[in-house]
Amino acid sequence: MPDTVIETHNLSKEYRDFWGNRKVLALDSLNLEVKKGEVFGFLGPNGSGKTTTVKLLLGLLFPTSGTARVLGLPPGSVEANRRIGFLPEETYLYRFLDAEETLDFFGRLFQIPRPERRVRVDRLIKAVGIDHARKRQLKEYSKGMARRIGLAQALINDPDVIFLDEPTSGLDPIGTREIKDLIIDLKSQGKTVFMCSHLLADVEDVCDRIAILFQGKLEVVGKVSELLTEEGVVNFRAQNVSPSARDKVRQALEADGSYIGVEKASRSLEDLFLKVVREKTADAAAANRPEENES
Amino acid sequence: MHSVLAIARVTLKDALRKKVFFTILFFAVLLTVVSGLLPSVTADEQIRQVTKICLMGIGFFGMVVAIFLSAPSLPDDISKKTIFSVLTKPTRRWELLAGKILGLAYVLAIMLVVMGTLSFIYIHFWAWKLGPDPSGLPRLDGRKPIYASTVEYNGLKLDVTGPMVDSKRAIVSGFDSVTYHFQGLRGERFRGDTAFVQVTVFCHGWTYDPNTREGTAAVQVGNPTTGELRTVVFGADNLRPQAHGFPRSLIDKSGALDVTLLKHLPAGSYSAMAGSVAVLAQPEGGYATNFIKALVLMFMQYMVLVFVAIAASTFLTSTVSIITALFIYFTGSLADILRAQALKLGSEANIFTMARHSHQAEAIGLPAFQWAVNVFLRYFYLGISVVFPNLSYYDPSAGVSANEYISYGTVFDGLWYGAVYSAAAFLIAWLVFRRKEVD
Repeated sequence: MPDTVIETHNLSKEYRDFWGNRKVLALDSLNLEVKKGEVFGFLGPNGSGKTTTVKLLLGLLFPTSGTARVLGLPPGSVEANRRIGFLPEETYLYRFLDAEETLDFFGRLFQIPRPERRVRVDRLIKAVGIDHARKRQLKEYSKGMARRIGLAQALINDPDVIFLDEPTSGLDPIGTREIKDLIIDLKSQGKTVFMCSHLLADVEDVCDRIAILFQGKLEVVGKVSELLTEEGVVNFRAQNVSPSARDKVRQALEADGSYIGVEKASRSLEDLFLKVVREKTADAAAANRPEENES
Repeated sequence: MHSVLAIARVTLKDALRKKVFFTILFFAVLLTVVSGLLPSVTADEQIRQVTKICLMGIGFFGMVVAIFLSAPSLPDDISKKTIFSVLTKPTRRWELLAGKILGLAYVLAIMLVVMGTLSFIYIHFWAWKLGPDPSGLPRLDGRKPIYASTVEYNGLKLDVTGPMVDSKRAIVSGFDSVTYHFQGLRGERFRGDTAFVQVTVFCHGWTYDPNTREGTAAVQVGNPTTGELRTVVFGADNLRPQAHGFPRSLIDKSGALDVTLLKHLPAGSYSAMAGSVAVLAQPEGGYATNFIKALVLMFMQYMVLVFVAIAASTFLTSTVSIITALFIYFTGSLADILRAQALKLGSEANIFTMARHSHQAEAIGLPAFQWAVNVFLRYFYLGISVVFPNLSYYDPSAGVSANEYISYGTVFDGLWYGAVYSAAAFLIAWLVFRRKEVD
């Protein structure tokens, strides 16, 4: 199995109107690599092209230019789909089916033999915590329950790669925690997870690497631990420090001329995200007013 | 293939859990019951009416189900985004289309079996209630009229098997007696000891002797080899086909039979008589087989509509697809008429506007504009009759209610045509949907 699970090369998507005129460039030359076993967070404000990217990677949309590969296979191909799971932004399932029928249906699409299918359906229903509602039609489900069955259908084939679009939207804090635990669990099984999210805390907690997308362009990509480290800043961690000891350390550092403060040194993902988005918004605004810039 | 079957199952469940399906089924059953309660003059008319309304009901409601369930199926999946979950599974796009079509085929098959069985029982109930036909012919039957090979009258012997004879029914007029020579009846199937001739006559003058109430026409059935003869005198009910039984043993071993139609009243009672005669073959299981053949034809028609509606819905919204499919249904039902009209248009005898009225043959010059309109309409109609499905293949209700035998050839033609048309529609659907972006 190749080490790179998801790979895009200059992937671009343009939406055109009926007459073929360009409406919007949703994705601009995206180059991305996701390695096997990674939990990859894909961030960006609304309309930045996250969902477009996922749809391109799933073969629901076709790129205007550039290429994408999932597990070394063309997106949307039967071979690729056999090994992926997808949880859409909202749970779009057949509302007239109950939970068991839903999972059984998707199991059939994977040609899972009946006895095996029964075992998996039962296990997944219990795993996502909708055992009490397994015989109820999905139209009676609350948003949180729909989210859970959505997750169960994404896992029915024991996929190698899982695409999660806003996995925690609509879930309460307990549900959110459960999903995060599940993602960590999937990672420990060696699965690759590609998740889009606005909820930065979620991403920060579970992702190995992140990318930030703004107006269709990739702005930042890297390891969470590296991106959130401030250059030249060191954190000292100590327990049961007396005020006098603290003052001594402070004085020593001050003498060295490098003292900043004693608060936490690592910035949060939220700071990073807002910084990137604000900078780019300012750049875009400046680019739109060239005359003023010149004068 | 697994995916096709799985999607078909879900499509079936969807339909069976929709209220609209049962509403339609309810009204269809209601119509069936009502068909027997409408007033009618004769028993014959009554049974025809029940059969016709039942079959038309099946046809109409089946069409409604076929169009109204299939046209929104794909657009709904796209707009509700349920298609995301299916297409990101190892499902090819054509499998999704094929699965939906197969699922709708299940739905329509269930509908046909339910309504067909109900109608069949109901029609038999009425046939039982009305009792046997006085002529001895079964009330419910699938009869096949066989026409004569030669007709002999006033010393003339005419071959009426050729394609140039206008209808093999060989209507002969202005005679005192006319003999129809039948051949090859041995190969045809008859039931029981009694066989039947169907006679249609038209008399100028009066049809009954007012004094004796005696019949005005007679039919003589005879074996040409042995000379054995049987005569039936009957009151000629103008232009209504009447059946008369005769011993089947009169048909010669060679398959030959002579049937003579003659005037029966004293000379001068009426001036002229015209008529036609057919021998009725009655293949085994006539009515039930006919009924099943009719259902098979109707099923094929539904499937053509399903394919058309699904194909339309790959690039149109669900409402527009429904309207398109309905339009195609109505135009397709008229395809034969359009085609016949088209072939007449532009010929010298059939111009767009009647220039003048003439009693003798005369060449009529056609102005260029009218000629152009005619040619345009000709190809327009021809185009429509080719592009739209010719649904006149699939209207068996008239035949079944008239107890007319539906030949296997008719069924085969309908199936073959439907299969080719559906395949073409599926190809279009696949070509459009293959690269369709679902967003």
